[in-house]
Amino acid sequence: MIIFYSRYTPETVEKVTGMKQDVFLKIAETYATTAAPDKSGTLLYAMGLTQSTKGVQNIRAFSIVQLLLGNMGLPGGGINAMRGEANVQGSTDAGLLYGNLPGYLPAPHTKLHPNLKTYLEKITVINSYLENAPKFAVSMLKAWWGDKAQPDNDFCFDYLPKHSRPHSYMDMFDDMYAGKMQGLMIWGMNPLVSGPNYNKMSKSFDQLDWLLAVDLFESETHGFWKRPGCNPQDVKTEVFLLPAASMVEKDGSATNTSRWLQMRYKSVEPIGDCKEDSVIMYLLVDELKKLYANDSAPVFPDPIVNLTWEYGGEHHDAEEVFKEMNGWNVSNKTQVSGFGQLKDDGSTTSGCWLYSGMYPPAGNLAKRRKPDKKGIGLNLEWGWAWPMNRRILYNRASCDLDGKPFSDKKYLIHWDVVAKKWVGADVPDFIANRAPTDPLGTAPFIMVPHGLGRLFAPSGMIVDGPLPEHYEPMESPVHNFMGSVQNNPLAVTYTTELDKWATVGDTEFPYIGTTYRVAEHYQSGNITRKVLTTVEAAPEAFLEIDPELAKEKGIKNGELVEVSSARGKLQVKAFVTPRLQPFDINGKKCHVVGMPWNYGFLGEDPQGDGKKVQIANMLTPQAGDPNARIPEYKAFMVNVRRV
Amino acid sequence: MARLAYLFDSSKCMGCHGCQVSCKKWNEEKTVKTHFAGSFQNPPTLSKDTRMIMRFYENFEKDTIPQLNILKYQCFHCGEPACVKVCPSGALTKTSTGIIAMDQRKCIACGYCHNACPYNIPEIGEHVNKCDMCFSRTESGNDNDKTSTPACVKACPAGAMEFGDRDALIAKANSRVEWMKGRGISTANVYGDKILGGLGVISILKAEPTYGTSHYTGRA
Repeated sequence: MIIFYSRYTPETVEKVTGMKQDVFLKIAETYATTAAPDKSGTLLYAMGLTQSTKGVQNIRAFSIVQLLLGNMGLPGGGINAMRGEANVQGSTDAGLLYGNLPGYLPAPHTKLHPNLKTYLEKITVINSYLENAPKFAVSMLKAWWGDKAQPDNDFCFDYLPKHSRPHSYMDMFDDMYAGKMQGLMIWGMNPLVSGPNYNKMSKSFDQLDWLLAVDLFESETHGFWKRPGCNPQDVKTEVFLLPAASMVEKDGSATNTSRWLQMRYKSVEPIGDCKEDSVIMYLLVDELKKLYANDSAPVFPDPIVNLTWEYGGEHHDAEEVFKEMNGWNVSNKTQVSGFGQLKDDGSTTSGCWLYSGMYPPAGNLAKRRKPDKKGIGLNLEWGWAWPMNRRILYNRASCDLDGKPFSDKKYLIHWDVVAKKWVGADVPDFIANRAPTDPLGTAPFIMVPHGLGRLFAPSGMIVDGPLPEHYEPMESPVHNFMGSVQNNPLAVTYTTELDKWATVGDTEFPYIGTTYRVAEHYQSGNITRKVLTTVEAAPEAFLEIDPELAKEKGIKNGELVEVSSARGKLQVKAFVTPRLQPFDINGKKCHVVGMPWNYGFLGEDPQGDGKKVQIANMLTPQAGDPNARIPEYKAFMVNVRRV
Repeated sequence: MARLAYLFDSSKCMGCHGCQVSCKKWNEEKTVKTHFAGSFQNPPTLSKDTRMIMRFYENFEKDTIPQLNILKYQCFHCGEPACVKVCPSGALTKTSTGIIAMDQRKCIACGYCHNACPYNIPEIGEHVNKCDMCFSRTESGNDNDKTSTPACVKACPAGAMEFGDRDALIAKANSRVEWMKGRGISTANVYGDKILGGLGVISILKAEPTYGTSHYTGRA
C-alpha cells in the first residue's frame, strides 16, 4: 500500500484536482492530528463523494484514512453519511435496495443460491458475527410465511424472487426503455426529475402499459405525458395515481444516520381519500391474495397466498409491524429480546434481524425519550439504536489491546478484569465475555472475517480494485494523470442510441457540469414546488457560472443561457457568481458550471406550466459505480452559450 | 420592562430562507410572484406583502475563499423611532419592551413613516406593513414551546437567531465578535447596539456595515 500510494504526492494532488499544494497540506496536516489518543476526527460525506463511477472507491479511501488514524469506534470518529432524507438509513436497513433483503442479508441470486442450503452457506462469514447469519435468514422466512415455512420445504426459500443480473435504478429504466417492462409501481418518488439522462428516462415511461403511483401530488413522473414535446395521444400508458398521506398524517419510525430508531406519530388524520402508505400496501396485498385464491389457474400463487398478513386489518397499528421485525418465539408468541435469541430451526421469527431487540417483551424501545446530558451524551434511553442499542459501532476499538480506554475523555467501554466481561457507558459492540487475551480478543470489527480493519479489500468484497485508485469521471476535460486507463474500467454504462458521450477534452463540450440542490426545495421539489412560500423564495432553476467564463461568453447575471451536453439541452437563467472560480488541472484551465436539480415542469413555480423543462438531469449521463450502481450526477461535460 | 431584541448572527446563517417562509405563514401574508434574476435574494425587496427578507451579498478577492454574506432585513425597531414620531394616526407606537408595534386599523396609509425611516422600511399598501416582532407571539406566547419567540427565530435551523433581553444579547454578540476576531475575521463587528438610540435587531456582521454598498448582488 505504501508503494502504491507513494505515487500520490501533494504535487500529484494539485495536478489531478486543481487544489493548491499548500491548501492540501494544511488540510492533511490538520486532520492527521486527530490520530492522537485523546482526539478523534470524523469524515462526513454526502452525494458529492458517492455519485461517481468510483463512488465506493471514494468511501473506501475514507475508510483507509480513518483506520490509519485510529478514528474508528470512538465518539466523534467514524465515517458518517449525511442523508438526503430522514429515513434513508431505515429504508436500506429494511431491504429497499434490489440486492438486499432486510438487515443487509443478500437477495438470492439464481446461480449463486439455487437452494436454502447453498444460500445459508454463502451468507455465513466464518470467524465473524455473521456465523449467525443462517439464524437471521431462517427467522425472516418464518416471519414472512409462518406455519407454511418448515424445514422440509426450505422454509419457503423458493418463494423469494431470485435475480440473475442487476436490477438497480438505471438498470430498471434501461429495461423500461427497451420495452422489457409492462408496468411500474412508484411510491413517493419522482425519477423523471431525479434520474439521470432525462430524454432517455422520459421515453422509458412511454413504453409502459401501466404506471401506478402513490404520492401527495401529481409529479413530473406520473405527469410524464404532459411533458413539453410529448403528445398525450401518442402515449399508451395508463396512469393510476393513489393519494398518499403525508409524513405528519401517519405513524411510523425514522432511522437516522447514527442508526437511531425513533418513533414518530400522526398529528392529523389524512385528508380526503388519502391513505397511509402502509394502508395502501395492506389493501393491495389483501386484494392480490383474494385474486390469487379465486383464480382457477393461478401461476405460482403460494408466495402471495401464504404470506403472513395479520397486522390487524386496514387500519393496523405501526406497532404490529415493528413487533414482526423484532421477532418472537413461535411456541408461545412472546417477543424475543434480541437477535442473540434467534434460531435457524424455525422456532423463532424476525422480519429484520438488525432491528431485533427494539421491541422486546418490555415494549417498543424506539418510543423512549429520556435525555442524557452527562458525559459525552450517549442517550442510551432515547430511542433505540441497532445493533442492540450500541451507540458507537465497533467501540472495542476505543480501547488498547489490553482493553483499557485510549482516553478517559472519550470513555465508552473497558474490559473488567474482575468480572471478566466488557462493561461501560455504551453497550459493548463486542462478544461480552471475550477477553483481550482470548483468540480474536483484540479484533474489534466483529462483522468481518478475523475482526480486523480492511486496508486491503479482499476479492469479492467489492467488484473493483482492492485499493482505491484515481480515475477520471466518464466525461472529463483531461486525460487521467495517474495512468493510461481513463475511467473506472468496470463503470456501469448503457448502450442505447440515447446514451451519448463527450470525448476526452471534447471541444464541443468544454466545461465541467455538476448538479446539486437548493435548501428551499426538498428533493425533486414535488412537495415544495407546490408550496407558494418556498416557490416565492426559490422560484426557478439557474445555472451558476464563474465571472471569468461569463465575461468570456458575454453572459450577464440573470440572462437566459442555453446549456447542453451530449444528451440534451435546456434554457435556464445564468447566475454569475464569484463563489465559483476556474481552476487548473495539470496546467489546463477548467471552468465548472452547476445547476440545482430540484426543478421540473409541473408545479406552482413560474416554469410549472408544462411548457419548459427545468430539469438538470437533461444533462447527466446514465453511468454509475459498479458496486452500488449509483449514477454519476456530479461530473459531466457541457457547453454554455447566450440565447 | 427590559427591552427586547433579536440577535442575528450572519456568521451562522446559511441562507435557507426558512425565516422568510415562517414570517409569511405566521403573519398570513400573500406570496409574491418572483423570478430568478441573478441572486438568491427573493422576494427581491420588502413590499406591502413582505415584511422581512434576507439580503445576499457576494464577494471574492483573489487568493481568498469566496464570501457569501447574508443580512436579515426588516424593521430594526430603533430606540428613537422616527416613524413613531411622524405617524399622525397613532398606528405606530413603541411598547414598553421596545417593540415598534403597529395597529393597522388606525393606519391612514399616508406613508410618512416610510419616508422618515432611515432605512425606508415600512411599506404601505392599504395600510402599513412591517415587522412587529411577532407582537401576538411575544405578548401571549409560551416560553416553554417557544411560541413566545418570533416565528423567524423559532424556524431558524442554523442557530443564527435568538430573541430576548437586549442587554444580554448585546453581551453575547460582543463575545461572539471577539471569538471571531480571534479566528482571524478581523472585520467582525456588532451592528445596531448604539445607533439610532440602539436598534432592536442586533446583527453580528463579518464585514464592515459599508460592505453591502459595494457587494450587494440583490436588487434594490
